[in-house]
Amino acid sequence: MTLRPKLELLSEADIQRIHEESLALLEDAGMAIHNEEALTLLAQAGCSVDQGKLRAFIPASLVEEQLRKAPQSITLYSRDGEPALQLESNKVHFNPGSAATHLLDRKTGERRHPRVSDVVEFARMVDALSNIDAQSTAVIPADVPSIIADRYRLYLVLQNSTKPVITGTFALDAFDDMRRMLEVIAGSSKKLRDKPLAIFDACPSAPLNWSKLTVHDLLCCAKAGIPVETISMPQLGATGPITLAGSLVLHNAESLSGLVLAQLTSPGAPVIYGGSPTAVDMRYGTARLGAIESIMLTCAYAQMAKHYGLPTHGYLGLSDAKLPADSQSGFEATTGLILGALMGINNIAGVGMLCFESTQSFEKLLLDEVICGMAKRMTEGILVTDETLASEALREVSMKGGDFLRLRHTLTWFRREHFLPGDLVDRQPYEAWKQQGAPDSQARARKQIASILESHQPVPLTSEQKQGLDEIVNDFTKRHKLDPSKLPS
Amino acid sequence: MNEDLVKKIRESMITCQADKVLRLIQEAIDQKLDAAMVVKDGLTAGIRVLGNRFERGEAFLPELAVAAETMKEGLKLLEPLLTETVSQEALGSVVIGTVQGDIHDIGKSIVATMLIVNGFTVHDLGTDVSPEQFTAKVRETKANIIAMSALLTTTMDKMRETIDLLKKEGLRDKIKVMIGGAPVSQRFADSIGADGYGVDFNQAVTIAKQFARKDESS
Ligand code: B12
Repeated sequence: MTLRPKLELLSEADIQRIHEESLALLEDAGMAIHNEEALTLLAQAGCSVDQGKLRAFIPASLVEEQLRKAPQSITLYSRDGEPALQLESNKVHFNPGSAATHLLDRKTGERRHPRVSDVVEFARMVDALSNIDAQSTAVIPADVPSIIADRYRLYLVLQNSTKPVITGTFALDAFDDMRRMLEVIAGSSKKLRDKPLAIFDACPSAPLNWSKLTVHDLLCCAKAGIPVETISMPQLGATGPITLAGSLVLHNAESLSGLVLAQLTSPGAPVIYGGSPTAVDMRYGTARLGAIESIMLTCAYAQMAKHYGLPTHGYLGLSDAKLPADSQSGFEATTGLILGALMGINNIAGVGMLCFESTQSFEKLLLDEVICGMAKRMTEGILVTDETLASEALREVSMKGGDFLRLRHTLTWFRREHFLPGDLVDRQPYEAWKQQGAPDSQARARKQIASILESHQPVPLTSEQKQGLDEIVNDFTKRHKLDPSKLPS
Repeated sequence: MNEDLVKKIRESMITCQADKVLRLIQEAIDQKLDAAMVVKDGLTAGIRVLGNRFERGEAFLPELAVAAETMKEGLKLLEPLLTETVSQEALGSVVIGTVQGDIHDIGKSIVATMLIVNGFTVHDLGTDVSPEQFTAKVRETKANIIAMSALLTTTMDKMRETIDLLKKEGLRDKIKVMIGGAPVSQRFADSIGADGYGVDFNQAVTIAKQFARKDESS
């Protein structure tokens, strides 16, 4: 038997109470929704709608009804159509923190705006790392015109990895461009629906508001059958109550409102219950993602989502430190990733990210990947069988002498029972470490990054796919009155 | 007696007792105290102390935010009694907002609070503010500083558009422009011809004060 170790933050009674409070909130405070189509859908479903104030009051019965329509399992496929992420039950997958405005230069350590070449290298790194299961459009290239940067990063990532992609838009006209790119890869809109290879993030604006952009994306995803993650993100003490329970109610209400909208648009639409709550630092005003309260709230809403049987997402593994080898980076990332994995959050986004979700780091990505490996190992629990109890081996060695090292039993089990992170984790004897120049985790990471980038070649697109993507880039570049030939490659 | 009341206002401001401050202000008005003195030695003096405590890490944002709100409400009560000279005593008047297409507003609001705490008059236009709305408010309030915030790569360009519109309307040389937000940089600020760029609320205040000083000397 193997026990899947797990975490709980809420009692059954707490869950019930939070559920009821959030439904009551949707009913009497309602959701502001900046989208006519969405308001009409809600009105038709029996919500009272204040068109002037763009606010819909959602009755509890409607939420309960729509909850039954949402899928409990969502599969994401790789670029070549193989199942890659199974978002269901307690399965755990990791992907990098997304949309960083800055990057730590992997050679100089300088914090600067990312370039196209960085987006490409970052995607190739993620492609190579086995404990990172999906891509995200992780860094925003600043050397392409900002107005098209959101979709251009998807174009780059799709070319440099076969892993599914977590992405999102920054402007209203981006979704269609990005959907079309995904359709080119999948082969058609029908094939994309059958085997989706990307997830879009859509963040409601706490408290209880769907902005024009995000609700637009939510509805578009539902129509196209592309999975969408609702990322509610109350900032405790700023856009949400300072108390964890209060912000949890808000988080749950916003997430359920997204689910209702998606199901009304298209029954059975794939929605992932996600989030990125942050604790506001009351001295510096910053959005603390590494804070224990942010992590607790993420695990708590995931428990709510599991109570509903929904696939889950969480923003964990991030740190607010500025340097990847600062121990704060390690302890904040570890706390989030291990607890998120124990919670069984299906899609955990955040590795690599520093400084309040603003700065990606190659070194942190690599170091965090070790934590992901540890977390995955942890969730496998302790296998207790006749063989793992090692009764024979124990008797043999203790009675006959010798050691376990030369036993078949050891050979058979050491890879299966132990996670082997390689030289990134320092396990050398002191003198050997010293002789190698006493490398710290940053130095070890840098060395590996260079060698991975040198050796790992992602599978290229077919020339047909590449051509299809190029045409779309051409389209949107010209639509914005820019010159496609001036884009860096 | 009068001294006492003003002192109580100052003390209640420091301890963030919003309701008490407003009640005391009403009392001061009923007793026909000098409104300017109430503002200067009561409200402003109190919020300064809080500001200093904040800098030392002894007070925190919720305290400043409540104090800044109280300041605004208190001024509303006292305004009809204030002479022109007092409002001119403010370091300057700032029009602030998050640019069009962008709804991130916590950073912008904290900057607004800190400007109030530091003696500026602030007109907060909220989020999703178009170049036209910025320009109209500048015209209406005769503000001498405009502060724009953008958190999205795609909305930064609205700052440029706003500056261009200010130029077109002949307002650009009457006003200082400062900008901020996650994707913004000094280099971007230079490229669009902004006068200042700040990475956080401390810098926002420093820059605004520099603007105010230059205003005086010119
Ligand atoms: C909270 C948050 C939200 C909340 C905002 C709630 C609110 N009412 O403000 C919500 C959930 C609504 C949100 C939505 C989205 N967000 Co958001 N969000 C954030 C987050 C995590 C924190 C922002 C924050 O409040 N920080 C705390 C404040 C105090 O800091 P600040 O804003 O930086 O302000 C300080 C300084 O910058 C400076 N400053 C700010 N303004 C000014 C102005 C002047 C004049 C001066 C001098 C200084 C100054 O002083 C402030 C105080 O010290 C950031 C990450 C980040 N690090 O910025 C992402 C972030 C900005 N968001 C991002 C994105 C992508 C989005 C969405 C587009 C996602 C989506 N597709 O759904 C939507 C946008 C919707 C829209 N139409 O605008 C990206 C932007 C990426 C990019 N390259 O553009 C970021 C960087 C996160 C990420 N890496 O993905 N978001």
